[in-house]
Amino acid sequence: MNIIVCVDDKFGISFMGRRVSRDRSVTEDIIRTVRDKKIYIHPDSAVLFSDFSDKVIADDDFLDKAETGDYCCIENDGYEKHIKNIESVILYKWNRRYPADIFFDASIIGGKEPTKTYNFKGNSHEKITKEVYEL
Amino acid sequence: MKIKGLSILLSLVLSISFLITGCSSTDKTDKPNGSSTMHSGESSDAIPEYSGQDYITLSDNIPEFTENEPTTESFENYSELDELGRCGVAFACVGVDIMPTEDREGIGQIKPSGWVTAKYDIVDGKYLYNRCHLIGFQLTGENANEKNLITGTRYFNVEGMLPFENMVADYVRETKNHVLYRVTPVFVGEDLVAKGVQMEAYSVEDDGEGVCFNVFVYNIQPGITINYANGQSALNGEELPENPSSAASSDKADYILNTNSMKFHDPDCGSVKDMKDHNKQEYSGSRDALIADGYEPCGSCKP
Repeated sequence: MNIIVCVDDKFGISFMGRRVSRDRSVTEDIIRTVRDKKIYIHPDSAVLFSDFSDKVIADDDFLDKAETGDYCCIENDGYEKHIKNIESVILYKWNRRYPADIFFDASIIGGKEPTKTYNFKGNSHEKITKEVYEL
Repeated sequence: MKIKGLSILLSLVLSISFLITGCSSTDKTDKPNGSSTMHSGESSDAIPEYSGQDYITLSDNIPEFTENEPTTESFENYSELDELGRCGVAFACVGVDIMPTEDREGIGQIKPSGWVTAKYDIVDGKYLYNRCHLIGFQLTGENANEKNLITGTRYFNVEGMLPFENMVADYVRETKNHVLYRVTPVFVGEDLVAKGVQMEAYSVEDDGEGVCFNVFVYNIQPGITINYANGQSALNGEELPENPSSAASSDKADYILNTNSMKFHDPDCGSVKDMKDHNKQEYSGSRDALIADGYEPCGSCKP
């Protein structure tokens, strides 16, 4: 599977059960990235894709349902047991600091250089960096 | 640990807090150790002593706004300074209509309670203290408002408060929704420097789904001991100055000199960043000596 994660400067994902930030330009970029594929998400992430509901598969056990080549958007922990199945990591970096208590395990990409890097202006963020890591 | 009567206080807080259905933490997240509770402006006895965490959550992260406070009309209110010149509660409903549209101006002319200029090599940017906005500039565009600026460490400002401000600011910009936002500085007794601030936020239109927190952020600087009574400080393990009044006097202070215009500025003056490097000098010493050397105080920051 290919996982998609949005992180702050310290790889923070969420704080007290809420995503640390959001930006519609990231959602649109995710839709472009997966092309004709669907995105597997937890039901709590559906609000991000409300304009693209036909592009997502929301399921409590979405990581168990995803198969090789599928894309999964991760906004919480619980992905650890699937690490061996990860083919690539797509990181969206907010380039900001937020409070966080759930962090992405950066050791998954530890020591690797991104194969692709993009920078773009978000709807509400000055600069968002997208990095793609092939594992 | 000063947590006398904490359980009673917790019950009171929970009973007066309005029901925020989307605001409680989920069981998926780890709650920071030492979580506790306190009222806005309540006795600082309710706050645990700093134990290595930059902030703690209060009341299970549920803010203590009352039922009638959520509104979709932006506003900002700042308390009058008390008899010791200290700030009180700053309260706002942050919307895009009151967010800043222009760059921040200088705030160096404000001397918040407990303000002392102190420099350490171990502090990012050297200066221990910042003039910390209670409600951050990026939220309501307040510049040199003495009712909104407290003496806070660099660490407290950047590592403590800023991440929470960022969360609110980016959410409002993204959604165009409103966030009820309150920052309460907590002073112990007659201390002039706040022990920290309580920060509460609640996104109105989505009932706290986007933003919801109630935290206490400690006004600390790693490696530095602070006397909160008067703002004096020392490296950990070293002795704090015995006579605060003399150490904090204006006999010796730090300024930035413009050798071209022959003006001197407070280090936080907004015009310092526009100064050409070859005209800029850092100065530490007597103000009178500077004037005797032909320098004039900046008309903006009035050092």
